[in-house]
Amino acid sequence: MIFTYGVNGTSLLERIAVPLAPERFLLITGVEDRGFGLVGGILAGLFPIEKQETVPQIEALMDLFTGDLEIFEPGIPGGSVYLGPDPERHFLFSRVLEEIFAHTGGRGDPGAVLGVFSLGKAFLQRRISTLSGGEKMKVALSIAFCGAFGLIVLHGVLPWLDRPGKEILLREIVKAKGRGGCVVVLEQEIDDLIADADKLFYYDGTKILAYRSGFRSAGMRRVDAAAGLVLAAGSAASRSSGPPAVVAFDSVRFQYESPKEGGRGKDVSGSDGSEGFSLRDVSFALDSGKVYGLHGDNGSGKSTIAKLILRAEKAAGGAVFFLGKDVSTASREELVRGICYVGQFPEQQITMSCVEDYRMRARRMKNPLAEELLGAYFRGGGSLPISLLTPLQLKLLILADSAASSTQLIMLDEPTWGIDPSGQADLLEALARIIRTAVSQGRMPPAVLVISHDMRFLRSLGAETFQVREGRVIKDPGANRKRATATGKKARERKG
Amino acid sequence: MKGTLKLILKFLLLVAGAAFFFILFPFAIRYGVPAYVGFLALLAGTGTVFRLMCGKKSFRVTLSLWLGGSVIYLLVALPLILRGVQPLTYLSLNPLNLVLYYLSYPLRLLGVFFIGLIFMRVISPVEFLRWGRAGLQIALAFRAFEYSVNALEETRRALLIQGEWPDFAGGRFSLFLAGKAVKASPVLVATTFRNIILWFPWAWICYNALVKKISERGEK
Repeated sequence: MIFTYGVNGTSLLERIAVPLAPERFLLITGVEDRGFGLVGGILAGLFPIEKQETVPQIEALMDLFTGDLEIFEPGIPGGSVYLGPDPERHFLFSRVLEEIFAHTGGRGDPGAVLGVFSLGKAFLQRRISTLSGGEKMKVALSIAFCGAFGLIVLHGVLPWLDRPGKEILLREIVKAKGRGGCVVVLEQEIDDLIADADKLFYYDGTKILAYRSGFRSAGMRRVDAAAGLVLAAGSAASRSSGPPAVVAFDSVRFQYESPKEGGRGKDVSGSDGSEGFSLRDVSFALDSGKVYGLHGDNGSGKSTIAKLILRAEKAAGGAVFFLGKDVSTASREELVRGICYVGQFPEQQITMSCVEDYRMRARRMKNPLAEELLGAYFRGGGSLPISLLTPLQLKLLILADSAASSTQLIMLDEPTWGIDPSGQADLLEALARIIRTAVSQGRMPPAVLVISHDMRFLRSLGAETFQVREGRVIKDPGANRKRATATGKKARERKG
Repeated sequence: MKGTLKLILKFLLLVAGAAFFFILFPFAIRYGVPAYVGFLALLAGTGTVFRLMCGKKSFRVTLSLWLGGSVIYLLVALPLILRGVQPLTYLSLNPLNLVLYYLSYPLRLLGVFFIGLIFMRVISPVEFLRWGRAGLQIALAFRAFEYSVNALEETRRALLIQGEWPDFAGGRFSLFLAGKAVKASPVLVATTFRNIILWFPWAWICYNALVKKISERGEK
């Protein structure tokens, strides 16, 4: 397919050429901008849509989807499906069963649809809103791969999947190809897919090029360098004495309330999706100045651990301590001052209309660090509407807004989705600034907790990793620590 | 697909509940105290059903929002009560009934909230698909409503984490926290609306993709 796409007379994508063909798996990586997302939607025939009467807040956003498409060479027939990087966007119905019913027309066994991604039949009755991000993505992928489509386009789905999920995805791609379909994957995490791809391309922000390893290596080098800065900033002061742990979990148990009809809850569950969820006996500690990684299967309770620290959920037993104080007795102000949190769906954390509002709040709250970060990553005095922010910008905005010199814990939940290596480096540089600011003011450097499936990202940070498994948090063997020390040392040498 | 009640019966329950709490209530005034007692008993019953079906958290958020709105309403209603402004054009109320009418307004609204949210809980949007494209549009509207409920909860959580929403953890309750809830309610509602607006373009795209898929399947 060869096409050009423009909005309001401005060309966004110029002669994009993607050689779609049956029995082909194409892998595209590159700059994660608005154009990258549009490429996937256009290939799948999702855009452009008809112009709509719309509200001013999303006029610019709608313009992106209602542009002018000129096709020089058509795609392939046989129907298509598209999945984007935000799993929240894939669903039109309340429950998993309803979603499957609508997509399959009630034909076939809905349990078998979920079986594609090894999701148990109990998931059928789950409310979509109670699924974790990874579970949503698995359900959406199950539906996509159960149909016989000529073309399947996946954009940024990998960061959401646990190890078994990634393996199943690869298997399903090969199967879909075997059925005569064409699969296009637009992805940043390409290491697991590269061996099976028939062709590999790079999107440089305007056009599609044949891939060369040099395209990504500059970005990856930036990630490693920024990770080194984070480690260097943290280790600079971690030798000094301070409180024993920033966060400590002591035999914590947790269970979502489970009203009848499956209302709120069970966003942590067994792999069969049953209601037998629990965080059973969670004990671990995070020290200041260190970087930690938390990984585990989809729906194992990783994000719930963050919510327990934030006291957005309440433990059923045991205790969570923040700076030595039980969070159940800490004041909300203490938690707000001490914790900087970027959730897996950052747009849900944004409560203001534009970046300028956040700048004003930073000034009003006399938070020079937030002002500095906003100034660094959102240049220009114009009012940038939230609707036009990329996932990277959304995350940077939340990070800047919730950071302060008093921050003692930084939590990033699935920070890599929708972000290319250059964006990951930006995020890590912002992180390093926050840590340096704390240290420069004589405070203990914050602990950093990164919740992610992206083990490469965690490794580049030299994170001490924990795994959430069967309701417990288990420390991984210390292989990463060696790398942490080495990377930190290198960064200090570079700086010094 | 969900529950055993027929779609039409569920609609009837919704309409009957809303009618009782909002439309018919003024006519019950003529029966005096028994009517109010009956009304309060039904409200408590509906509230209990809502609490059991939707959970403690939804119940608490609904009450917080209702409380916030009620305080604002009472600020407006108080001068009207003091001036004895008759609220109904078709009925002249004595002073006691006039006060009861004004004060019961938020309670009636709460009853409608309960009924509407119970309806959302017992119905499945997929039930509308049998009505073809119109049904699909209803399903989309339904999804938008459900998304708004979820968005409200997520926004509340975000405000809580940012220290803007009162933290009632550990059963703490004080007038200060209640006042904070009232103060933060407009931000909560406005942000929820903003999030729905931001969500809508993608929902519209998903909707169109599903319509296309269904038409390709040869369904009406």
